[in-house]
Amino acid sequence: MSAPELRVVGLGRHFGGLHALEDVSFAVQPGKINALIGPNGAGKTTLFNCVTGVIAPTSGEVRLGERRIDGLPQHRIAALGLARTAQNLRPWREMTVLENVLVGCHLLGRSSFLGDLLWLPSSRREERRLRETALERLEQVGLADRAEELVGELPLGQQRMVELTRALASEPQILLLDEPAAGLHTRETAELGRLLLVLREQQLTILLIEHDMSLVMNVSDHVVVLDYGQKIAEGTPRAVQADPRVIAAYLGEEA
Amino acid sequence: MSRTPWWQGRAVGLVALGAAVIAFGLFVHNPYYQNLAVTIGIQGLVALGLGLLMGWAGQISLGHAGFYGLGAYASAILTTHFSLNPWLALVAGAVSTGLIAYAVGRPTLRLRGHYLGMGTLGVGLIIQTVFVQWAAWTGGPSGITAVPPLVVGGLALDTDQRFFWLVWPVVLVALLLMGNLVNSRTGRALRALGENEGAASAAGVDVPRAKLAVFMLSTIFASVGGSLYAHYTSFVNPSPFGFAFSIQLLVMVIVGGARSVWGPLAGAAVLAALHQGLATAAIRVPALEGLEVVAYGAILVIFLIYRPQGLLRPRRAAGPRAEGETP
Repeated sequence: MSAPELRVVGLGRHFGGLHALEDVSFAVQPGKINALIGPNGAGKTTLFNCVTGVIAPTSGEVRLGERRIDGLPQHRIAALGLARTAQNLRPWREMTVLENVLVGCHLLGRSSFLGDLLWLPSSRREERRLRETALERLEQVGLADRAEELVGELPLGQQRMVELTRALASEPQILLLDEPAAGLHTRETAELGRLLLVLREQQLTILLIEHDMSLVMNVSDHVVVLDYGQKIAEGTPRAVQADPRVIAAYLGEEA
Repeated sequence: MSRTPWWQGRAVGLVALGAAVIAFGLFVHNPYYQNLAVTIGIQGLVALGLGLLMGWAGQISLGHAGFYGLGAYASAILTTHFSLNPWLALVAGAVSTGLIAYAVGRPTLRLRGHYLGMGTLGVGLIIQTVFVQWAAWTGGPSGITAVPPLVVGGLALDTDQRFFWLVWPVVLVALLLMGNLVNSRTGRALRALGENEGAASAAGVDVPRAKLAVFMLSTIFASVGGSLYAHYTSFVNPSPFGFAFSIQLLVMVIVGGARSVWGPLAGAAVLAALHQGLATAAIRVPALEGLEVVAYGAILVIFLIYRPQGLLRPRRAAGPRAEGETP
């Protein structure tokens, strides 16, 4: 199964006078781990929001294969195979681990409101199937024994794993991760890195925003660097690391 | 695979309530309590619908008394002016209420926040004004009298006891349907969007559509409750369908527990009992007249401060928070 290519073309987004993104173009390489890096405020999350339909870009296009997807509602973009996790942790804290993953399975089902209300045989069958799928997913990541616990009661590292499992449960073609390693300790970050490599082996396309540079440099195939809303570099981790503009952007910020 | 033990299954609660209903119907012959039970059933049905909207989808309606009134007036007008069969009138009322809810909900539910609250507040007030002003059909402030009773197999449901046997099975069916919905894919989507709309959209939930569907269902519950009310009392006028009753429904949901399927029914029982109690007391002590509103306000404040989850706990009780679990 070859995933369609995700591309942004001349993407721009203004908030009043603030140019959060300006004329950004790049292609996300299918079946690879792509990283989007840049100093704070570079526009990384804004770009994610434009791609996933949270906000519409003010100029430019987002394309999935031949299809233009900018401006589509969020749930439609999700249905096209784009799943994302958010920077500020957003699993449903009042729902159990299993229920969170089941919400992630939403797109795998097609039961109707009326069918669910009347608990028709088709709804019942589908519910059983989704539960099996969700439990399988939890077993794969070692969270099956916590299935009935409320997510809000888990430690942060496990909450993040639930969030990731939820995103993967919709069987996406492209996975967008916004700072998945934030708040994780070194061991958990290493596990996350291994998981990303496993997912790449399964031909999943990944676009990753991350501040943890050792994670980015270890797992990424392709890196795009943003600064002040513009793309300043793009290439292999090694090439990007050596790029003087990237060094200036990072040192300039940290000095 | 983990399974819920049978004593926690939802069928158990329904069977227990069903048994209680049968026992009450067979052994309680005091008209005062029969009337109270019917009132709790009717208002409980409306509160259950509002609870579905508030507790699960996190949306608010400040005009549910209006939708309740639509059902009541639809039944009263169609059966008196057009001599329509009461059952058909009930269905016609439910369908038209659902359509009105669609028209109100479609624009307001696209927006986040309290727009539905404002929209329904306005619609509730408009509906009541129509009941008062459109006198040719509604009888104006004096209302419509001689609404015929519902008939089952030749038996007119014109006594408290007979009506009891209709209302409570309807409540049981409503509880059954709600239990179905809440534990389904749709129900999970509603709870997900109730807690975080953005995350629900990202998971592929069509948020405006889901909100609209649950809002319509919620108003249909209200409308059926209203139709039952009209045939039970055989008389409708505008006063029970105003803003005050919308607030009363809100109090029922919060007191009973919005996040529990059964909560609003418990809330309806508490408030109806309180209402009857105060009304009885006011006959002897006239100074108590009008105290009801104060009592509702006080109850609401007390609950929101000390027991915001309501009388009945959420479906899955949250255990003690494990503080300091994260290093």
